[in-house]
Amino acid sequence: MTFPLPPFIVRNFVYPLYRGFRQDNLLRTLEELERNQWLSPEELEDLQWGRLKALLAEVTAHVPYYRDLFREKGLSVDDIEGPADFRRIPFLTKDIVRGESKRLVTENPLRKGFASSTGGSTGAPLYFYGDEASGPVRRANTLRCYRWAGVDIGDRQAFLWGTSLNIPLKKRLIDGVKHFFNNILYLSTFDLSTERMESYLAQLKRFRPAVLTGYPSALEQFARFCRGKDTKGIGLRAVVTSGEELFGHQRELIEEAFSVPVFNRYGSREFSNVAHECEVHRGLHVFSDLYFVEVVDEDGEPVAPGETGELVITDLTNFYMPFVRYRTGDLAVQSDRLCECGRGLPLIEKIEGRRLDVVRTPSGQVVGGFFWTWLSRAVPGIARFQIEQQRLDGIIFRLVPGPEWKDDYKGVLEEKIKDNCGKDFNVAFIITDDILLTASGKVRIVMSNINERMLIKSKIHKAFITGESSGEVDCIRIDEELMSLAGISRFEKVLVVDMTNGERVETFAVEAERNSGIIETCGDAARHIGKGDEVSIMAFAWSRNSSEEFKNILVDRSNRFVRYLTDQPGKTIEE
Amino acid sequence: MKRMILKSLIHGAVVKEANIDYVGSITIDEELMEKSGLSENETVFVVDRSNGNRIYTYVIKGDRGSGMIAMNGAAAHRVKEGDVIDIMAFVLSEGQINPLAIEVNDSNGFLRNIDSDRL
Repeated sequence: MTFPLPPFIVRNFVYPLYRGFRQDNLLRTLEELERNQWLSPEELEDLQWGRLKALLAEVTAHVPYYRDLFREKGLSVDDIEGPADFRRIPFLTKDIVRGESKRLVTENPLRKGFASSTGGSTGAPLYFYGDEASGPVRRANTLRCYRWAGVDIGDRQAFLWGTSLNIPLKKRLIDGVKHFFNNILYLSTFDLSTERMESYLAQLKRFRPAVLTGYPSALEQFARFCRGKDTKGIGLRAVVTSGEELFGHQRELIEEAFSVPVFNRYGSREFSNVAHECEVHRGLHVFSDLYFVEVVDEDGEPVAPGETGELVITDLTNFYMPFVRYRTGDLAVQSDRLCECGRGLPLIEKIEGRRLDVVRTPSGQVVGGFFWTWLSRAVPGIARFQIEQQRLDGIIFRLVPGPEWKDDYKGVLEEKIKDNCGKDFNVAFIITDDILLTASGKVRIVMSNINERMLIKSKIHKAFITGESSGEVDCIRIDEELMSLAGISRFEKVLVVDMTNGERVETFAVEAERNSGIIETCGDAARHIGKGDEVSIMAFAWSRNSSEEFKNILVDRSNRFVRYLTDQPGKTIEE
Repeated sequence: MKRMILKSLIHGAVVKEANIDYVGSITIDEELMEKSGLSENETVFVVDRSNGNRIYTYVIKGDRGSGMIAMNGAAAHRVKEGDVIDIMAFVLSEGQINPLAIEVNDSNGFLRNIDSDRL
C-alpha cells in the first residue's frame, strides 16, 4: 500500500494479463457497453426488448417458478409484445425470493451460479444466486461507470466502505494481494473517530487515488473533517457516492472539501450498478442495455415523469436465478428527459431513500428522509442523527451533539416536528455518542420499526370462581355471555390472576352455558385457583398500533355483567 | 420468522404503592412511559429484584412527573411497596432493534438512557 503500482502498469499489463488468464472477454464487453451508451433511445429500446424477450423465453422454459407462474396466469412469452403486456407478470418480492429460492433457480445445466446475499440493512439478509456469466458484464459496467467520472482501468481507487476492521488474517492477505494488483485502498466506515479520519487522510495522500467511492453519510462526516485541510494532495478526480440517498447539502459539502465533482450511483447487491450520473450531473442514466427498470406507485402502476415511485428491476443478464420485475423497496423520481450529454441511456431524475424508511403519522401522512435531514440542520450542533419510529404516534430522535449543541434546541426541534406530524406526536430525544451502523456500515437516517407489541384487549374484573374440577383438561370455563362481552374467544389464551391468594395462571378459555354465571377452573389450574377465589381474567393481543380497543368488564358477586370499566390509577372500584 | 425482542426497559424503579383493592395492574409515570416507549394497556413483564417474583401485567398511565410506580389488584400480592423492580416490554420483530432502556433514581425520576451495547 505504501508503494502502489503506477496506473499505466496496471492498465496496460497487469489488468489485461489477468483478464486474459480469466478468459472472460471483459475488455471486449466493456467496448460493447461503451458503444451501447451512444445508441439512440430507439436503438437501445430495441436492444433491451430483444434481451428481455430472450430472458423470458428461457425462464419460462427452464425456471420452475416462472414456468408455473406463466401457466397459472395464462401468459405466454409470445403474447408479451410491449411494456403493457410485460406488466401483467406479477412482481417478484423479497418474500418470494426467500420462500421460493429453490424453484427460482434454473434447471438449465448450462447456466452456472454463485451464492450471494444482501447486507441486511433493512432486516434479515436476503440470500440469492447471481449468474456466473454476468460477473464480467457487471465488472465491465463498473468500469464504464468509472470512465464517466474520468477514472480509467488501473487508476487508483479508494473506498470509504462498510469493511469490517476485524477481518480474519487469511482473507485479509488474499484481499491485500487483490487490492494491490487492482490499485485499491479500502477504508472502513465502522470507525470514523477523529484519530481514524486523521490516519485515513494521511493514507489517501500517500496512496493518491483518482477516485474516492463511499456512502454519503460516511463521506459527509469525512468531508466535514477534511474541510479547510489540504485535500489537493490526495490528487482526486472525482468522488462517487452510492448505497444511501444523497442529499443536496452532502453533495455541496463533499465537493467543497475535496474540490472535485460528485457522481451519484445507484446499485445493489442483487444487481450491481443499475444507474449512474454522467458529467452533466442532472439525473442518473439507467443502464437499459443490462436492466429493465420501472418506477411504480403503491398500486404497482407506472408513475408519471416527475413523480416518485418504487424501483422495479428486471436483470437482463441473470439467467441462473432470474429477477423479473423485482420490487427493490428503493424510491426514485421518474423522468422522460433526454440527457444533453448525448447518451441514449434513459434517465431517472433522482434516487430517494427506501420505501419503508419513512415516518408514518397517525393521520396517514408520510414523512421521508428529506424532512428529517432538513430538520437536523434547522438548529446548530447536530453532528449526526437518526430517527427511529417504534410506534405510530411518535419517534425517537437519536443525536450525536457537536460543540454548538444546546439542550434548549430540543424544544425547537420538537415544535417543528409537531407542526409537521401533529400536535400529539410524541418525540423522545436520546443524546448519544454514536449512531449504530447497519451490518454493511451504512447509516439509516429513518428507521421504521413499528413492530407488533402485546396489549391487553380483554378483562373480566372481580369475578368469583364458582367451582373447580380437577380431573379434566387444564382450562377455565367461563359463562359465554361474559366471554362475548369481554371479547374473549373459544380456546383463547388467558391470564387468570387471583386476588385472594396472589396466584397467576395461564391457561385457555372454554365457554360455559350463557348467563349461567359459571366460572370454573379445571385440571391443574384448579390447584392454584379454587372455588370462592376472587379473580381477574385477561386476554392479550399483538398489534402494530399502540392503542387498541380494550374491553374491560366489571361483574358482580354472581358473575353478572355490571358495566364497562376504565382503569383509574390509585382507585378502587367503589371510588 | 418473528422473534420476541426487548423494546422497552425501565431499570431500578421503586414501587411506591401496592394495593390489592385498586383497579388495574401497574401504574407508571407517563413521563417514564414516554421515555421508555411504553404505551397504555401494553403488556409488561415485571421482575422484582427484592423478592424474586416475576409476573406479567399491563400498563396504566400515572400522573406525569409524579414518579409513581404502583402495583394494583392481584399483582400487589407478588410485588410490594418498596420493592425494586425492572419493567420490560417486548415486540415481535424480524430484524434487530435497539431497546429504549432507561435508568431511574430512588424517586423514579429519569436518570439516563442505557446504551444498547451496555445492556
